[in-house]
Amino acid sequence: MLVLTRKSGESFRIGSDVIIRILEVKGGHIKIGIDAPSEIGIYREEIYLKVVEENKAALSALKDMDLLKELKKLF
Amino acid sequence: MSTYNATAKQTESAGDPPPVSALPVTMKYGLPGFESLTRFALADVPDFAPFQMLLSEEEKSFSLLVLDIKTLPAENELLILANDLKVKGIRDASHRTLLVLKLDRLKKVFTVNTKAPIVIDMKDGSGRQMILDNPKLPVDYQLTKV
Repeated sequence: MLVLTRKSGESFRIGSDVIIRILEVKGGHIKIGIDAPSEIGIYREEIYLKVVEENKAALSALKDMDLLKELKKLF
Repeated sequence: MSTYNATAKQTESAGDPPPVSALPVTMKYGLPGFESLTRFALADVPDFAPFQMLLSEEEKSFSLLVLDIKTLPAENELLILANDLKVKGIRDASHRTLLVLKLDRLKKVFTVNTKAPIVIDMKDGSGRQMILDNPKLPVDYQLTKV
């Protein structure tokens, strides 16, 4: 992992079009700003991992046709 | 938008409904957890409308059951989701918003993931799973007890 040291107000760049700026360092929190193209998803890591988990858990939904038939009755 | 018969492309197994037609969907960045998969097909589930399947063209064992948000009652979290999508510019009729459906076998309930809808641009068949940074949107919005 690349490790950089930055002060508040300083920034760094990832590639040519992603800029990350340190906006504030206060207590145990760091506020950062990100400039990136709109097609690049920017997510909190824990939320992304939760969606990964949900997607993997959803793979089996089609396997239980009996339960699906029950759900179909609602539509 | 063109459609094609995907029946021959899928591996059928006992208990799986055979797809009848499918819409090609390209997801440049894949889906969270399946980032290497980019080519999909959105197929009807025969006799199970409004449910549809999102099938991978590259990994035959991959299939997600999805529901178009328009088929669900506009209430609670779903209204919040629709509003969040509008803010992000997903508002015209050329987009379809699909929610991934999951079966919680322990609780015996079906849920949809309102935090991460799959949005498809029907003009070019491109899609992506958006992740909305709104704590009011659950990953397991319960549809009903079954």
